Amino acid sequence: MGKVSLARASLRYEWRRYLAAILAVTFAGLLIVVQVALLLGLLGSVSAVIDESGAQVWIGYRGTQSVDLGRGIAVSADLDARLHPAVRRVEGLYQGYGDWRRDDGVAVTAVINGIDARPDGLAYAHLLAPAQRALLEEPGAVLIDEADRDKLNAYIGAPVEINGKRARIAGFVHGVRAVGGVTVLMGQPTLRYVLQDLPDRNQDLTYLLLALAPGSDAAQVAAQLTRTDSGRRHSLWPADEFSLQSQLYWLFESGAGIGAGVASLLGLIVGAVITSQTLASAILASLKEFAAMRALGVSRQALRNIVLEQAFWIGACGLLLTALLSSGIGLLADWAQVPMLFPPWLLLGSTAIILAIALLSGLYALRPLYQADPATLLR
Amino acid sequence: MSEVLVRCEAIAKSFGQGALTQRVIREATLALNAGELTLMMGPSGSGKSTFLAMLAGLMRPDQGRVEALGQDLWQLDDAAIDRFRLQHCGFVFQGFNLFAALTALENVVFPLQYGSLLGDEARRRAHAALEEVGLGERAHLRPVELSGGEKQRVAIARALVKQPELIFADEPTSALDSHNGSVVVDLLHRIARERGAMVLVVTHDPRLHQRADRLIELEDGQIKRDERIAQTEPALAGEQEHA
Ligand SMILES: Nc1ncnc2c1ncn2[C@@H]1O[C@H](COP(=O)(O)OP(=O)(O)O)[C@@H](O)[C@H]1O
Ligand SMILES: [Mg+2]
Repeated sequence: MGKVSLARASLRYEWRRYLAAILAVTFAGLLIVVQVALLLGLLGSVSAVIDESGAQVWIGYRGTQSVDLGRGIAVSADLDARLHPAVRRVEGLYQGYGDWRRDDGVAVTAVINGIDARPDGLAYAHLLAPAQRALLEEPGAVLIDEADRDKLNAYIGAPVEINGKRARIAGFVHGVRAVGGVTVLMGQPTLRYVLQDLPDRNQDLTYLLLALAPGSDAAQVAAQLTRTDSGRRHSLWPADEFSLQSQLYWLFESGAGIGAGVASLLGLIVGAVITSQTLASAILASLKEFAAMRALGVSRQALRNIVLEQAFWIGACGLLLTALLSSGIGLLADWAQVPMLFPPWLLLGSTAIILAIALLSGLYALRPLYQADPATLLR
Repeated sequence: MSEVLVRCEAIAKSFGQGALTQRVIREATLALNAGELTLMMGPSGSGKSTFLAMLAGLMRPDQGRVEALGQDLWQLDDAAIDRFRLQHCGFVFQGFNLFAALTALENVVFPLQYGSLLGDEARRRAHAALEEVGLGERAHLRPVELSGGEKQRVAIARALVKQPELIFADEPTSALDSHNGSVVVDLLHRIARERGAMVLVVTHDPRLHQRADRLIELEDGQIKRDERIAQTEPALAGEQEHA
C-alpha cells in the first residue's frame, strides 16, 4: 500500500469542486495548442514551397519579405551563382498570380508555380513523385492540391482555363494548399503557354534555386554570393532562413500571431484565476482539518505542499484532457484537410506552461492556509 | 506517586488591550501526572481552553513557564514546538475534524506520514489504533458514513496512534449524546492507564466528573479546586453499558 495522498484523495472524492478548475486549465491549454498548431499549419503552407524543395540557397527580388511575395527577377541573376565553385545546380522557379476559370465559368485566383519538372529538379523535390514530375512535362498538364478538389470541381483529366489558355488537371498532390488562392503546379511547357499573352513576357522568373555540393555551408555560400555583382541587386537566403522569415512575416504582419498570443494569455489568466480560487475555497472548506493537522504537529510547509500537489494534479488532469481534445481536433482538421502542425516543442512547451500556471495558482491560493491556527479549534 | 509529565508555573494570559484587557488565566500553577486522566471543569468562558492551549504548545503564555517532558516548552522556537507536538502530543477537539475525502483508516494514517512511521507499518499501527477504539470493522468508511460517536473515536485513534505521552482533549464530548460521551471518556481513561499517558480533558459537562482520576475546577482564571476522585470506575462503566 502506498502513501495516503490527501491531494489526490480530495480530487477524486470532491471532483465536482475541482472540475471547474480542471476545465479552465484544459481550456487554456487548448487555446494555446490549437491556435499555435493552426498557425503553424497556416504558416507552414506559406513556406511549403521552400521546405518541400531541394534547394539550399534561394535568390529572389531584393527585399522580398515572404516567399509568396516574390517579384520577377532578371534571367541574368544567375550569372555569379553559376560561377561559384560550391553551386551544383541553378534552377528557375516562377511564382505568380493567375486567373483560373472553373468549368462553370467562375473565376478563382490561382498561385501559379512554374517549376523545372525534370527528374533531378529542385522545386518540390520532396513533394513530387517521379511519375508526377513526368506528368508535368506534358504541355497543358497541371497539378493541384487535393484540398482544392471540391473548390474547383476538379477531377483528373478535367479541362480548365488558366489566363484564358486551355489546360487540364493531370493529378493531385498533398501539402501545397495556399492561404489565399489555389496553388497550381506546372512544368515549363505549360508555363510558357499560360504566360504567353501577359504584357511583360520576360517576367517568367521569380526565384533561382541553388543546390550546393555536399558538405557546403549554405549560409556561407549565400554570404559570398551576396558580395557579387548580381548578388547585390538581389536578395539571397539559406533555405531554412527564408522559410522562417516567411513564416514570421505572416505571423506578425497578419496579426494572427498577436491575436493568438493575446487569446492564449487571456485563457491562461482565466485558468489561473479559477484554479487559485478553487484551491483557496477548498482550503477554506477544510480549514478545521488543516488546523487539527497543525495541532498534531504537521508543519505549515507540509500543508503548503498538499495544496501545491493538488494544484499539480489539477494541471495534470487539465493537460490530459487537453491532449485528448487536441488529438480529436487534430483528427478533425486532418479530415477537413485543414493543416495543423503539432511539433514536439509545442507539446513540451504547452505542458510546461500549463503546469507552471497551475503551480503558480497553487502558490497564490496558499494565503487562507495561514488561518489554519489550531487555537481556533478550541472553544 | 506517579511521574509528572507536564508542569506549569505561574502562567498567565490576557486578551485585549488597555481598559479592555481581559485577564483569562491569572498565575496558575499545576502539575499533571502520567497514567492519569485529569478533568478540567468550569463554566463556559472560564479559560479552560486557553489553559489547555498553553500547556499543549498551541498558545504562548504571557508569563510563567511550561515544562513538558522535561523541556521548557515556550523556550523552543516555533518549528521545534511543532516537532514537539508531532512527537509527543495527541489532540481531540469538539469538532472531529476528519478529512471528508479520506477513509477512517486514511485519516489515522495521514498525520503519521509526517512523523517517522511510513508505509505498511503506519497502516498496521493505524489499524491497531482503530481496533483499540472499537472501529476495526469500519476502518474503510468515510466520515459521512460514520456516526458522531464513531467520528470522535476515529479522532481519538488519530490522536493516539503515534503513542503520545501527552493527550489533550478540548470538549471532546460536547457534540455527543451522554452514552457516546461516556464511551469516549472511558476510552481516554483506559489509554491513560494502559499507556501511562497524561490525559487532560477540558469540559463543562458535569456528567463526566465521576470518570476521571482527578478533577480541577477553574474559576475566574484561577484553580479553585483540585482533588482526586475515588476510583469506582469499573462498576460505573459496567452500569453504563447496560443503559
Ligand atoms: N483569541 C482570543 N482573543 C480574545 N479573547 C479570547 C480569545 N480566546 C479566548 N478569549 C476569551 O477568553 C475567555 C476564556 O476563553 P476560553 O479559554 O475559550 O474559555 P472556556 O474554554 O473555558 O470556555 C473568553 O471570555 C473568551 O472570550
Ligand atoms: Mg473551551
